Amino acid sequence: MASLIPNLEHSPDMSPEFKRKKRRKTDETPGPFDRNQGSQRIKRWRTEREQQIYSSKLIEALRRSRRTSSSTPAKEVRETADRVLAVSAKGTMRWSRAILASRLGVGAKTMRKHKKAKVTANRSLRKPEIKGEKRKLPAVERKLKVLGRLVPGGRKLSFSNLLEETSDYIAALEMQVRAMTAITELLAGAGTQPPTDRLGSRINS
Amino acid sequence: MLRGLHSLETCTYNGMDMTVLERQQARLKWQQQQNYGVQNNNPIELCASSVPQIQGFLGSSFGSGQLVEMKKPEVYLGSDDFPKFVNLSVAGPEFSASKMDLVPPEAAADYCISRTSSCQMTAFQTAVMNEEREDVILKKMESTTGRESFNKRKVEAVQDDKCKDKRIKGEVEGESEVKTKCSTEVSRNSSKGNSKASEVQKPDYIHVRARRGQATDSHSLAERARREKISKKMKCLQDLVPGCNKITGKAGMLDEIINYVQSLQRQVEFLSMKLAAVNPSVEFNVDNLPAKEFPAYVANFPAAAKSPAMANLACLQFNPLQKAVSCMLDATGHPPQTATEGVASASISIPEQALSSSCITQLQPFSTWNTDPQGLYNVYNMGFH
Repeated sequence: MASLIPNLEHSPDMSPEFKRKKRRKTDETPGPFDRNQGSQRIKRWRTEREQQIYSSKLIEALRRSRRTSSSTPAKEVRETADRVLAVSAKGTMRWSRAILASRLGVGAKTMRKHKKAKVTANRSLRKPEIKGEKRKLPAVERKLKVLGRLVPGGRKLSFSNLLEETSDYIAALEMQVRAMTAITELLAGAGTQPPTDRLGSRINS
Repeated sequence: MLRGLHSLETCTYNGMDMTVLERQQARLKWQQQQNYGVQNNNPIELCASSVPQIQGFLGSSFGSGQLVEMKKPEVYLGSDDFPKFVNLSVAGPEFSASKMDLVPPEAAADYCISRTSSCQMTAFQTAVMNEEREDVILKKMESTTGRESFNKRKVEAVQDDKCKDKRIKGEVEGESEVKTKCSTEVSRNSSKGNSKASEVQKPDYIHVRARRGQATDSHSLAERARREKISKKMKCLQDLVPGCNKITGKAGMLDEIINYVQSLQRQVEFLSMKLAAVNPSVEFNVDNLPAKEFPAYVANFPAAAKSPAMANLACLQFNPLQKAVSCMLDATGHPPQTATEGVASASISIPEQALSSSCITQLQPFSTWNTDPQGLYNVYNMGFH
């Protein structure tokens, strides 16, 4: 009857080094619901309400961060915007967690650790190259890598998970662009008018 | 009539070795279909239940001639005689489960088939059934490949498909597995409430169904499930990324996706710079900030204005967004000039007309500007390609 034992997550059983190399898979349990939930999640980014929530959070964060300006203002605004976006995602997706983790500096440390521990392959085991020819991965895999680098936290993901993260990330980015455009228009337009606590009045209206 | 019914032997289940236990399970589950109220199933139930009951029912609706045939244990419910039954609105809920046991085993096999052979259903009913099946599958099965297989399967030719189930796994793992698999398939058509109890005990396997004429070993099935999952996600991405409708193939799609993500990130970068430039103005109090005060900030720009994007901020402060984009496009072509130009004009505050005229002449074909990201993406594409 061992076959009846549910075969849910085999990854915790694996040894750590093996775990590092293997592409992480997400839970199998959301399987059949995945389609409904995924599209619902993506549609959530398109709602007006979500954009307003993001806008207000962003403005609050910008107000707070202005007092402690560390790096160049543009970079700081960018980081703040990304962080607020990740918070808006409520940690459901991997990219949001990766963004928040990187802010704490934890991600940077672990990334450095990984770089040190990288083991180069045994050259003799590699397939013999024809002289002068570069060993290229198939086109799709190369592009997957590029995409993995673009999406935060997407380096270790499998193809299907990466696609899922990408779709959610794209929806979130679109919302971010819409919200930031609206905010800049708001602020730029308000610059030419008599300001009486512009931000407060505009946002609450 | 008899001959007609016997000719329905085509509906016999080929090569399906179900044990009696499985068949009873099938019958039980199938009994629950009544809740659907699909007309077609009712005649099936009639045969499933005990003979006297059938008699009683049919007596009210059919002619007596047909009664005789229905009594026979070897009633094969096939496509041919269904037209007579289709319009029958027989209520079957009073048939209790116990009556199922009276049906001989051979007929039980057919019930498994006949519930899936929605033979003479109207198109609407078929669609409804399919959708319901799909919904039920989605809720119960882990892999959604079953949906595609239902969509593609012909309504009549069902028997072969059943043979090619992923039973290899079931056979290896014991009869209980097969039972749960079978009940999974059967319960697809049953109402959701009834089948919930049986679901809890099922282990989490990916239930896949092979289509007709496809390899059935576990490796190819797993691979096929994986491929379908991936293609589904690619289709979802196709809806998100604009201009992907014509592109087929993973590599091209991935190219578009990468481009789009990069452009979105660039837009965010660009907007954050703009926001950073506009932001300090918010902190200033009360009074209106005339344009002349801006040179204080603009003076800082030359130091940082090495990148064309930064320089554009100078124009951006004074231009509405549409013109700003045009400035940016212009600047990508001529970085250094626009930088100084932008700064100088900002400080002198002769901004808009001078800049915009030069920009707009270049971009006259683009009469409408939209600020939503996809529109901006198209603009980016035009600028960068």
